[in-house]
Amino acid sequence: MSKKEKLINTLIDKHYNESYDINLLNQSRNQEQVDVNNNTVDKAVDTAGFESKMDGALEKMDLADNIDFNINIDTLKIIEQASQIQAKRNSFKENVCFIITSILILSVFSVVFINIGIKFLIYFQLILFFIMPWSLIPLSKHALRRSENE
Amino acid sequence: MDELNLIEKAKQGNKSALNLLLTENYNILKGYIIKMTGDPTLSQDILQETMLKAVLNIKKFSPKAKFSTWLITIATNLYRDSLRKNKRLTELDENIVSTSDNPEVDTISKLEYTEILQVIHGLSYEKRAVFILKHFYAYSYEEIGKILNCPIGTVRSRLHYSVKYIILELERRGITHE
Repeated sequence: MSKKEKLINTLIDKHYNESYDINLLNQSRNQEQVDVNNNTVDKAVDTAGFESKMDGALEKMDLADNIDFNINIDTLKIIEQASQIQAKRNSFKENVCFIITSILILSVFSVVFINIGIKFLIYFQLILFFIMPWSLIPLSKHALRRSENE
Repeated sequence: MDELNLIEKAKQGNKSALNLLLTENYNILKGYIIKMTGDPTLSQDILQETMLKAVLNIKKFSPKAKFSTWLITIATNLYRDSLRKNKRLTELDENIVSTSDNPEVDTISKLEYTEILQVIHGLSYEKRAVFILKHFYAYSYEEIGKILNCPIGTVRSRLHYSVKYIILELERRGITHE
């Protein structure tokens, strides 16, 4: 990269308040002064000239801030749309979970049934017969609490 | 209410906090997207998609950066994706909304706005994004690097290129003089 390019880049960094090589800038300004004194201005990079050209151009670009298109977006509608998408995603996840759990339970049942035989079905029905009525108590309590909260 | 509080409430599912966050950052996001795309239909699509994505992923947002910065990052990614999918031709002048009552002034400013947008759109999307974020939103090189997912050196050189290009292009079009 030439010295001139480096200097221009430094001036751009300076314009945007970013860190820049101050030594390079000072050196260039000193050189400019030497060139003015020796009547060899053409060789120098006119830092002040470039800065004013850059300021003018970038000021023109500020006009872009006034550009507007007819865009109307209802943010509440977007939030509603997002809730619907979220609900759909959740129900999809629940369905997948249900299918996987069902397949797992049925597979375990099949394996146990193959190993133990008909006895397993009798044991299973006996367990269900005794445990299920008791499990209704906490389940109904949970349902009651839920309806109270709602 | 400050932004952090709003974000916290929005994360807990408070719809009015979420709505307030979106409306407060609406103009910044809209301005950025308009300058990036220069196309009303595409701007509308990206604005809508950005907000939808932000609402869906609000729980993933960590408030290290500003909410507007996060929205701008989403919008930039969506715009990049849309550029990959299809290239649109834009009729800039017909879609710019007038801000003046005087038809003559209106026509002149529309022409000027169109030229300015054309100059910005002469830059590639990466350089355009760097220039817009730096010039109009005063983001630091580091923040721009994070938004665009690129090193600071790249951001710096893209900005240098953009500014030099803009100076030359404005001179070429006779908008500024040598």
